Amino acid sequence: MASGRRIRSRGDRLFQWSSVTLLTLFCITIIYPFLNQIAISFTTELEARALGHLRIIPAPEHLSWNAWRAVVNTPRIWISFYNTLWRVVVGTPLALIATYMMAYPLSKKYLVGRKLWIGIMVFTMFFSGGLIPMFLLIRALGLYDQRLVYVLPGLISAYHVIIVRNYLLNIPESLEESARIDGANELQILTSIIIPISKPIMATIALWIIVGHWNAWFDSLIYIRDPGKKVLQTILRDLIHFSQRGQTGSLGEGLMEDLLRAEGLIPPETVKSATLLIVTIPVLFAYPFLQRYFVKGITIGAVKG
Amino acid sequence: MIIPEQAATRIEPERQSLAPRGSLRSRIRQQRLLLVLLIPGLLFFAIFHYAPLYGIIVAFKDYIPPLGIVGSPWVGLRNFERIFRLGFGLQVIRNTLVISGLKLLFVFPAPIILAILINEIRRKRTKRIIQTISYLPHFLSWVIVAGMVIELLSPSRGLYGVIARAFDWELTVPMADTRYFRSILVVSDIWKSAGWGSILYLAAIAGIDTDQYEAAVVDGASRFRQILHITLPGILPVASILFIFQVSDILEVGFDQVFNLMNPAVFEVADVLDTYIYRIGLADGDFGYSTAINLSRNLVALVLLLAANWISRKVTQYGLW
Repeated sequence: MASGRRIRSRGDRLFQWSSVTLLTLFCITIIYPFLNQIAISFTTELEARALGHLRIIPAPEHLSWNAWRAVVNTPRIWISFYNTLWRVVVGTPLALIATYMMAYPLSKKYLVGRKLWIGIMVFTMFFSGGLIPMFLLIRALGLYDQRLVYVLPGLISAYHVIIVRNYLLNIPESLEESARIDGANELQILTSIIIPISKPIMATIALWIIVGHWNAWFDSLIYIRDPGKKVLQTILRDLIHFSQRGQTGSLGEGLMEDLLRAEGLIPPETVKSATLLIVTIPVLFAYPFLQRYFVKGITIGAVKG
Repeated sequence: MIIPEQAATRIEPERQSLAPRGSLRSRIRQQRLLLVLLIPGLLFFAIFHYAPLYGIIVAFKDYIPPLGIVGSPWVGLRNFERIFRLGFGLQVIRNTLVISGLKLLFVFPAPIILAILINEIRRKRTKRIIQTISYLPHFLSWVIVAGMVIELLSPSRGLYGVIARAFDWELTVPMADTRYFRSILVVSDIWKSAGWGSILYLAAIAGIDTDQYEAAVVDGASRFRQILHITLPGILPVASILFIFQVSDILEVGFDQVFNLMNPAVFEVADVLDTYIYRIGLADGDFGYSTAINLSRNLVALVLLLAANWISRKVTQYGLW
């Protein structure tokens, strides 16, 4: 877009100024809640509950490590952290492999039954059995209250397959042709040429899957009963809504005892914030570095319109 | 000694490219690696996407857990009738449509406006920083965002309380107030999704012919008029497609968001189809009724989607397929 050495009218400058201001305000609204949570987590419970006039700028009067100490000393939070990590570490590679295994054959225009397989897959994007049928299936498969339920039901996303497939379709056929002429067989072509070339798109998909696993909470809520298998997000959710309604939810007696021992008050706002930050900070941290892969990913291989 | 060119011409091209040649059986044999690779994926879809379809018959039964699906008695369409009889069903549908409508009105334009504003930034570094910040909420779960929102809107502890007291407003609990809850849904959705949504529109804006802008400058048009007459029409195709599909998605309100923000005090306006399906089904255990609503909803959504695709093709020559 042509940028201006051009003469700017007063209207133009006003417009420019106001758009920058609006954007800055928008960015402030995004940053502010995090600062707020950080402030709450580093103060005492008493102050967190009180109406602090300093609260517009989140700077607590009394600094305290109480909340963080409580969180560190609460086994159930660590256990759920482990569960979240488990699903990321186990689920992501499996999903990547499964997705790729689906996308590669579908990218071959001469594949037997190609339209049929694609149709089978795409149909699932538009219609599903629903909550209860899925629930009944999970029970019937013996996945209820098993960690595998985090990994298997969501293993392959048709949407991801389509994106990878489009990426593969854009790989010039000459690459494969010349490999064939050199005598390579199907398997060799796949492993030594196509897979290495697919790294960018797989990296992007991997990031999406990782974020998906990290943020997942609903499956843990409905398919898992054992508190020792719950995911971090679900524990956080219970903490938040316990405060709201006084129900124990899936927290169980154990977690509340841990928390009460540490803080001595019900419910601990500061601990809530600390937990929220534990869940959020890894994302915040990794985000600036990985952000451009996410953005690139939408355009790589995605069919427009 | 064989000269390479001679060797090359002796190879038959068809066999090299595995193009359709020969009987189905021989093609299957040729492509056996590909087909084998496909098996786990197809198995997955069969088990986790097609098998549950069988469970849909629960909608037509009075499901009694010990009897299982097969053993439970048929009740035909009784579960479907209940949607309209009790009054709750209609209220839930109303809530869904109202909230979706509000989102169409306010959340849909947000990424467009944001994209236009971001596009106005001259300095690359500032632009990148603002963009990066704006996408951030997209990567947070609604559990997290709801947690932050609830905290901020607390009358006793949060920013809302501070501001309300400063301006001497009537203190209420916004999260539990049916007058404000829908606004909270809309605003928080904008907060979370506008940044990420703007990516697409920024790409569309980047694709607009710059000559048009230069011509407009020569004609003396202000920046604002340029945007009005060049930028907006330029993104109209993309926006139209997205709008059409967004409308067809009207029954989809965003379960995660509503579920994490709602509480019993605001059920009257907050309970939407998906949360109702969940509560009736898993919390109250009425499998039949829940599945009936779910099925109805999915069918209507499918019809709307097909309609949207048809309309989109007619209007813009683009569709999902």
